[in-house]
Amino acid sequence: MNLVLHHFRKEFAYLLLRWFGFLALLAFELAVNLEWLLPMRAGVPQAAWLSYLPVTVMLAGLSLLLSCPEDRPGSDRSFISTRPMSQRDYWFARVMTWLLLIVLPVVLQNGLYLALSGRPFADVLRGMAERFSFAAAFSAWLLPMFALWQRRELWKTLLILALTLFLASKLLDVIAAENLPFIPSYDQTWPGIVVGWLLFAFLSAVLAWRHLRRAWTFRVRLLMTVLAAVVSLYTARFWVWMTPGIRAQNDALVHELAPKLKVEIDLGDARFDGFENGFRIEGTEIHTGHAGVHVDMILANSEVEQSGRRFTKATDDPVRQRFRSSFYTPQKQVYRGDANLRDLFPPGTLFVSSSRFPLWSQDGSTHDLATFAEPYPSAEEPLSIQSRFAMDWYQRELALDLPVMAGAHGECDDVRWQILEVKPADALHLGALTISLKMETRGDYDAENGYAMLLHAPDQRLVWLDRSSMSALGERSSHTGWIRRVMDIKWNYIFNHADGASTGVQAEKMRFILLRSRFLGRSNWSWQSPSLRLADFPSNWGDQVRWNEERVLYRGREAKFFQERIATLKAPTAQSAEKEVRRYVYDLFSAASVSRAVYTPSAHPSIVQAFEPLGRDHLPLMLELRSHTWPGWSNRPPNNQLAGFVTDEQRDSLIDRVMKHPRLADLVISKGWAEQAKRLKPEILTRDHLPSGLEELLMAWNDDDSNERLFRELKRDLNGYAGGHLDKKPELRPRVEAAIKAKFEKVFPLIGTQNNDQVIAVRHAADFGSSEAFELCLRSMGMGGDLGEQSHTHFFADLLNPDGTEFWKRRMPDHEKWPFFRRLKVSDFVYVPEKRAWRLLKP
Amino acid sequence: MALLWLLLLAFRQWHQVHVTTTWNSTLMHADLEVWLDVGLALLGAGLMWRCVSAESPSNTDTFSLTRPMGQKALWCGKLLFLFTALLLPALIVMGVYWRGFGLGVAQILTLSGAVIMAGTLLGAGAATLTALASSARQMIALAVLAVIGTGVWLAMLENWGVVVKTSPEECRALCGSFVAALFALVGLLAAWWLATVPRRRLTSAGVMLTTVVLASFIAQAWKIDWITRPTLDYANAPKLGVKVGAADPADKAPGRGLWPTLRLTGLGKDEVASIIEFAPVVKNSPWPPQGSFSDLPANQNGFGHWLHTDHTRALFKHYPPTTLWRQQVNDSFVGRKTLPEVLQALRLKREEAIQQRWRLRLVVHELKRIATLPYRQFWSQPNSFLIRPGVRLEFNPYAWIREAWEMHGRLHRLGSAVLPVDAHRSAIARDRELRDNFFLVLEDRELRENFAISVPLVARERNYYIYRNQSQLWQTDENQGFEVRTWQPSEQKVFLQRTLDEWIDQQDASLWHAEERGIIEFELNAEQMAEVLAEPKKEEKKP
Repeated sequence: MNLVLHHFRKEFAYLLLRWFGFLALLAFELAVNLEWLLPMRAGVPQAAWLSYLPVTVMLAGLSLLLSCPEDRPGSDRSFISTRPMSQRDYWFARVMTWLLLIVLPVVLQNGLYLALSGRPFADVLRGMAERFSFAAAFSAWLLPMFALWQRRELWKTLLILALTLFLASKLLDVIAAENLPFIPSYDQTWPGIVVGWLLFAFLSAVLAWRHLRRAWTFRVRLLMTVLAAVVSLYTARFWVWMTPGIRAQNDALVHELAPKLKVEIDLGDARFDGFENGFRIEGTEIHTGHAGVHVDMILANSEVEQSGRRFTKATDDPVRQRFRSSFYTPQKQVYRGDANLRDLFPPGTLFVSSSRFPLWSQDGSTHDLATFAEPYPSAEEPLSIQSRFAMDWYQRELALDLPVMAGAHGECDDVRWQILEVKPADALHLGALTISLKMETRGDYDAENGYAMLLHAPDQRLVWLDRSSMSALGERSSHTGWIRRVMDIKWNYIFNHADGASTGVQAEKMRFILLRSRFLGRSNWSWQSPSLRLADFPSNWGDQVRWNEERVLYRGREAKFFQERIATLKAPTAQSAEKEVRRYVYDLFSAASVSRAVYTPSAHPSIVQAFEPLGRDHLPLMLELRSHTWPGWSNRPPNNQLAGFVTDEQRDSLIDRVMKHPRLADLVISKGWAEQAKRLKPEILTRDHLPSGLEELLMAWNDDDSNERLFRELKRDLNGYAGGHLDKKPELRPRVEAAIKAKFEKVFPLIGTQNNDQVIAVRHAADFGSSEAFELCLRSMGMGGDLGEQSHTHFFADLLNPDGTEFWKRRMPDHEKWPFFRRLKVSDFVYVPEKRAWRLLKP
Repeated sequence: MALLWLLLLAFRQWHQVHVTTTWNSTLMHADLEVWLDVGLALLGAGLMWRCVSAESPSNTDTFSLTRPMGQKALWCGKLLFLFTALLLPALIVMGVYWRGFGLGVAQILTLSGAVIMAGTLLGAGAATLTALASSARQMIALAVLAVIGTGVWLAMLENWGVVVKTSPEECRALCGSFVAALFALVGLLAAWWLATVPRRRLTSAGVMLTTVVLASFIAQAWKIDWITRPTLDYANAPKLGVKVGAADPADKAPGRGLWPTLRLTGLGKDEVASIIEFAPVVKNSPWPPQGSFSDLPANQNGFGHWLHTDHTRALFKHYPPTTLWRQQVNDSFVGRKTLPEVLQALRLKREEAIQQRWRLRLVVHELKRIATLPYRQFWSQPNSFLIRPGVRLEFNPYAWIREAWEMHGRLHRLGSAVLPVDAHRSAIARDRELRDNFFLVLEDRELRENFAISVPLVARERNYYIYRNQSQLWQTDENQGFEVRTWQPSEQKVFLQRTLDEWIDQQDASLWHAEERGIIEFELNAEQMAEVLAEPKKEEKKP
């Protein structure tokens, strides 16, 4: 008989019982994974011991590599050494044992599992190939071990190896934490692990081969093996460097769309936060020209030219691209709240988020326009920037759309859902909806695609973007290529509002949606700035004064406390030193803001009186301090007090200061010096960024140039002053309306999380007569109580009472406000264009 | 090997303190905690294995059988080795760590007993197995099984040990495990004795197996819980009362208002009452009903601090009356709801509400000053305050982290897990225990401005990264972290031209503790409720 076959049969006979035990375990695991045994159930957590099943199977498999003790070639006294059998035949037999008895059953079991799970043939083959790689790599290293070590050495060696690898791994993690952009053990990939094990198996085989010829001592073998193990470990850990970035899934579409890409950079939105933090911009508009497709813009490098000198900084090194912070990973692209997402649903759909962090309201958020490396250019001198960007293209789609009912199921490329149970509410959470979901997915980790679960009520035109909670109840068949999970997902306030009133939502009419984003590919894009001065751009973290206000502590006694406190202060005289005066100003402003006296009309006379010695005797200092924020409203004390004290003598010096301290513009106008301030006009008109306050000068001038500049500011016109101003000119009105409408058309109507720009856009649109926007306002106000006490992100519009008086002057507590608006429809109002407001028809 | 054991013990203890007290420690990335425990368990077992296998009683070839020395003496010698090499170093290392917590004799003895018991269990288990094994092969097989068993057990501990045992059911289980461990200790020592002195292997194996089986049975079946303490009833309940209806201006003791028409009388000077629940009692329905009002709603943001505005106001009387106060309290509290809002949440109309009997459950806390220090001392050096034996509030110095001055710290609880540390159980509101809470009050002496910061302790229920539960077998060691983020007030920088150093040096910092005084309930009948929910006055229309 062939010696190879003979030895294999001997080994097989020796391992027979164990092998059948191993097969039985594999069969049991298969039955558990397919849920023929111990199926996962809705609302029932999986038995904890099941998570140890894969480890048990693995140990049982590895135990099969312990060949007949007398045939282990590690010792020169072994029986195999005396047999007339060549090394080659022996190793063929061993490899045969390994492949046929261990690897093959594992791979076949995996294939069977995938086939019985209804996966396509290509997926079955792919899963088997992955399983083969892993099983072979993970067990191959044991083959040469018995040639390299004698029995009594083996455990000692394994112990030392385990300890060394443990220390080497931990040491690497600690060093990496300080010096690398990733933690090797956390960012470990499965291909890396396979490569590491294979390398170790290969190196061990080489060592065994050398040892069988040279008979190395124990120490030499140990040293060499430890070295091989550490090299293999580090190869596995750093394999991530070799792994290509995310895989493009539709390069053709990217190539087709990239030439048509439109990127609108408005430097009015730019911020300069110092050379360390870079030159950034918010709210860049990017039009891809394809429904559902958006672009993530990443700065690759920037080159600054100033007075003939060039400053370059490249940022597109592969490490930075691969290990982007978790907020900007490709998977997170699914959470982008923008018109693309809005357009996946019927018009008028309102989106609700209860996320503590404003995940869904980040529409591309902030982009770096340029970053800098030392030596820095001068921020005060003109310069120009040329930047190159990597444009990552993504496409989103509603991959699954199921009715909310037990038994509903659906499948897309790599996800399968089945709703196991629908629980409408429980005793503690009236109005909550819980869905027990069985989810089957392709892989453990998907680098390219992002997924989000949405709940849609088409009849109510509502989409809930965030669940209230999710609890995983069980998981099966990880690393097989088709994972099964069962989870309970809960949303609050679906059927009832927080105050108990019914929402009218019916479970059977709702849809449970899987939103998926796919990475399509990457293109390049360049931007050339005009000549600019970085110092002209404000900082996000500027030295802005923020006056503290206590909302609760002084409620009901704002004026009384302010008067008591101010009575303890010594008013400055004309002779008082600057330090004393500053102290008095601080005390006055601090008391007025903390107690909220600045918002309490009965306290205003006291503030005026307390301010009087300052205006009278210390005007220069007050003008200097006016450059900073003062507490309270701009048209109430102390903000409106200075005008009474400023004389014509200060006019020119005041106007001179306006460009540096734009808040003084208000004072210039109130003194009637707007005309004299026109000398600032050329500079104001040429500035990309219009500092807050200067728009008032433009409104005061009210000429074509100024109004044209104000049109550019409409996008950032938070309080509607510019819009209101331009709207007063009949010839400009159509342009204002068009601008407001265009802005509303880009709105992602999201409530419940920080979304200020969108709130303002909806408000303006409603105020300018859009019934769609106004309807969003009414619906979001009706849900106000469900969004939490801290949330103020519902839409609202200007309203009038039936008698034409302002509605919002009426003090309506929240618990009355939400039900009140819930009952109202757009048809209960009539739009009053001259007031830019909606009038209630009935009281 | 014994030296390695001592070094590993000391390193583990140092590591535990280091990762707890150092923000974003580099060592944290190595995730060593569970591995150090595994290492200690294996090394301890290995030490006993080496010790016992040197004179293995089951091996007939062992040299000791021929020596003029009794097996009894040999066993006692091994036991002495177990104490000196395994337990004594552990006691020394742990003893150093227990300092500074003001623990009493009973606590120290129980903690030491727990270390001795845990060490003896490990040592006796390893020694018995070694004594039963007659060859290295048997020993290796047993060791492999022990290693796998330890791994599984520690992995389970890692999963289950996140939260400190506090519920009565968990405390009962802890008592059960303690009794079972005591039983196992005696059983394993007996098995080791039987294997070594009379050399009865079968009996010894039988005793060992019986011990393991019975110990797990005892742990499961144990019913007595001596750890859980009842919640505290308010001691001055007879003095406390409610007044309803609008306050009479002539009334010299109108009481403290929960609402203008519902006031409490008889509260102590620094005592503050918080509403746990306020809702009508409906026959045959559970109380509190859904929508019941509470001052202490669950904090969704993962924080365990619950102090609110009434607590800040209670501090006012300790400072000059015109002091300007700001506060930073639990951000889920934005002032007490008005009574109409309370009714709205309960979906009741006034007419229905005043026909029902209402229950008001309150918890009373007393604010006590722990210490007042110059703010500079908080700023630049670590501080630690003993709140009561076994509970310490620890502060790191400030550091510039994440664009802010951050002061990290922790409420550190250390004590025996099998002895009740506190005299009573904390009050429970909305399924969470109202445990120790603190105010850090920054007192600007020059400006007469105070800033009350409710120390934002992270909730123990959340596995938040600054909450660290390092409890071991029968020892509670819990660090409930907090981060105070501070900036120099920009208005002071600009208007007063104050530097950072001036701002720091002009302030003192006082630490206040809200100590629980107990729970009290009031029942309000329909007549009283009619006064509490007085009809709103209709404004007369002007002609």
